[in-house]
Amino acid sequence: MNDDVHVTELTLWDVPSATVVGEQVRFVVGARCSAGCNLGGRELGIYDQQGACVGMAKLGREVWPGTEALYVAEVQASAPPAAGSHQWEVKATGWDTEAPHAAGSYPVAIRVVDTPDCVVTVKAVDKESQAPIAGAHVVMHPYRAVADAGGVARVRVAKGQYDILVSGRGHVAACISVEVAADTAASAELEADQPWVPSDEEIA
Amino acid sequence: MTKKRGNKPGDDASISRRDFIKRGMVAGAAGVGAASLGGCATGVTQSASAAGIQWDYEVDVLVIGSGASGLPCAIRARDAGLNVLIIDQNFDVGGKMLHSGGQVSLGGGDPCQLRDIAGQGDKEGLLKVAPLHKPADMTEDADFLFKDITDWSVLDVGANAPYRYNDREMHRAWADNCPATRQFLMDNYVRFTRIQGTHGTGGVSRARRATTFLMLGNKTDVKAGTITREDAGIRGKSSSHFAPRFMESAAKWVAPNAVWNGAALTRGLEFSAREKGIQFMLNRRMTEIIREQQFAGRVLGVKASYSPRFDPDTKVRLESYYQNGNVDERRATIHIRASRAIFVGSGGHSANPQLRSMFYPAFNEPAFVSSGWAMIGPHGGDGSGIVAGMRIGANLAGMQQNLGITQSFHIPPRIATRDTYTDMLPGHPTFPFRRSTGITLGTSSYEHLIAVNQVGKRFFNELYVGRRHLSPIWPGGQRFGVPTHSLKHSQYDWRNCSPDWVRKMYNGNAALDAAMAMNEGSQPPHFYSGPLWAIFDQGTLDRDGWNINPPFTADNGYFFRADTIEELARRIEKGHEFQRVPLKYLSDTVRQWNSYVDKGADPDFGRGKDAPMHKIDKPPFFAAAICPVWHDSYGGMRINGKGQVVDTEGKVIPGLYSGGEASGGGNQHGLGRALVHGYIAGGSIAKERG
Repeated sequence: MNDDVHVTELTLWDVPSATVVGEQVRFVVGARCSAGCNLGGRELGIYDQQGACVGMAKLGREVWPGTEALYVAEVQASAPPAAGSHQWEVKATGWDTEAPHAAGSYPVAIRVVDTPDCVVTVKAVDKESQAPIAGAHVVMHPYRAVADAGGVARVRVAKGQYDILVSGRGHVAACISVEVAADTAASAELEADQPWVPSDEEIA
Repeated sequence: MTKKRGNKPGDDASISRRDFIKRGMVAGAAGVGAASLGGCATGVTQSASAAGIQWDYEVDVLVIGSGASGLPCAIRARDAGLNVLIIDQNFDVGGKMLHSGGQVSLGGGDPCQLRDIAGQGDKEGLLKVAPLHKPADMTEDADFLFKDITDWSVLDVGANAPYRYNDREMHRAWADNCPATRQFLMDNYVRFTRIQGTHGTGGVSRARRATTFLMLGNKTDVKAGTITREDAGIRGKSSSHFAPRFMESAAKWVAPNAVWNGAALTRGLEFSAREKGIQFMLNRRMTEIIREQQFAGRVLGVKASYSPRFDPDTKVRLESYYQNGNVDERRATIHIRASRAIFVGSGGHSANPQLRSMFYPAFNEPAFVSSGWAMIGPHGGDGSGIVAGMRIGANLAGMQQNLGITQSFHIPPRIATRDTYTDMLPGHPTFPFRRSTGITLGTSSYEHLIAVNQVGKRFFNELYVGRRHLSPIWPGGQRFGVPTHSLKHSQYDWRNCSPDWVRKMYNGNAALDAAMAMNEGSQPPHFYSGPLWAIFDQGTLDRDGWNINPPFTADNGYFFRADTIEELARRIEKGHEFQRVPLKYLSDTVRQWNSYVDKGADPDFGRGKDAPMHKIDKPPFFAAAICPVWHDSYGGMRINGKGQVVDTEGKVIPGLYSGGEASGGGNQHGLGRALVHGYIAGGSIAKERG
């Protein structure tokens, strides 16, 4: 590559772990020039695995909070019509701003699922105190949810066998195996993580 | 009268070289210059180098190192009326003991055991809590203790046998001297908590731990046993010159307002040593032990070089906390004569890549340091005492024992600092060398990062990266590798290490070994494994609440943030002193990891079964250094039960003593070993002929 050509680096986040058939896929894409150029207003294309454009997005004018030169666009596109795993790609075409910019791209994994038929209610609590763990993360792959202030997360899933992985701030993660045939409730008792002190971890 | 910092070298707290020599002469020393040394020789022809030496100082006893073995040795020799000088390569006293937990596992019926057995308090009335253990759990004798520390049947959960290869003569002496050492410490301004279990790898069935403490008060006064809140440290904000680590509450073991760690032990002993007239020549690194002949005759003295440390920002020389009794000697090289004995308590070799790589070749990597790196300085733990001993014929012992104890080298769960073992906060004079305290992670925090090597590839299941093997300990139990509990533990019993038990209790992992493995960036001739990085994102901070603000991180080359992973890699390459090769795989590694999260499984290292997996995708992105540490080292000069160094023929090297990490033959973690060594040697030296 010509040294005078800047590189466009892309990053994506908030891509849903599972999207129900017929719903919209929403995520965020950020673009940064390797030389820190202003990319505000530049356009990005989203393409499916056949190369068809499924959406466009325009980078905002403001730098994303906490970053130095990352410009961001929120993407919304229709999910593929059939359940399964799909591979999309976000592309930044070659831009000419202050300097030529090489094209950049980033893959997007889209998992489309049928409409979930059960709700699994998971309550995360501290094993010793039984206090709820707000913000606990509950993963029943591919479904994910975050617990509310009462330590309760509701996960909409298809029927089947799952390992429920639960973790919470300051607690050791736990795994519960469940067979989901109807709406189900589960409780996860997490042990508190012990703070580490040099050479004293075995202190009585 | 002991004075605090603020005194300057050269004021009334220091003494002149001339005065010092005079004091030495009072104790019967020969004086200055080679010509005056003839009367001190033992009939053996001096070596050419020794014969021509102009001695700059002369003392009865010279102690190399002011740490856990050096201070007790010096005080005991001084108690016997001898003229004692301690030299130390660092600017302050204490060695690694100063940043330790101050946990001292002794036994054999020591005064703390007897006190708790009788349900008594301490003479100052500071202990307000009842004994934590039943009398039956604390009543033991020296024979049991000796068997404890030589118990071949004890394993840890990594199936290492810590005590199997312990030197029997040395540990018999250790066990016999534990009670007297505890009393000696208590007589020198060291206060101990109630007995609380046993320190990891400090004995299983019979050794008993008590920890050193001070009481919060309006004044820092070691004699009175008090310390101000400021000197004890402010949690999450500051340490102090007195205590480089925050002193935690000891309320459970003493009383409300009690605080504990190694500063309480170190400053107590140091205060007493200075009060008793022991002299300290700090900033002075021993480089050679001089013997009458290289491999024969008495040791005569040492050659030592000036090793000051300067604040990296202000360029001002660092000074010790207490200063009375300091000898302010700044010549580049001097010779110090010791008419009666030299004690080598200069510490181990955990900071010397050449020595430690004899036992674990991957630890030739200079990026990884000894615990307490900032505090002890560039010469701390450099094995100089061991090397000097080898040059005059000292035998070695227990060198393989580095491999048999889990505290030797491991990956502490603290990132974003080079000094990962120590949680020093701003306030100690050496904080500017590290600049960041580091982010301390709980076990659960590892689910929120990926760990990569110097080329940006993952190397192990991250959930295990910060976990080290737990040590065998009293009261025991499967978690600690001890099949029985409390006094039911049967010493020397084959069942403790039967194959069935090992299968049941084994919980080892090889994360460190994977971290230190060669990779695509390892280049001949050294094949360094290179630095390691924790990679995480804003999502990590949102979920787990890590504090990345100063002083936990700093712009010091051990923490980076960037808008994209590619930019993060570039910043590491440019900004980290040991990043020798590009992180060329980092971007692909992160993308692959994110794809594994999408799939719910990690085919490379098996994550996804124990804890949720999280993508690393939300900017900004962060990299924090993961630094393995070689904490304490095992293996050093061979000593006998009197603390005397012996040569390869089993003969004592006259006048040469050693202990602590400078000596070998003892796999026994913690301060108890070194403190007793110093106590033993000090007593032996007192009996040496002058």
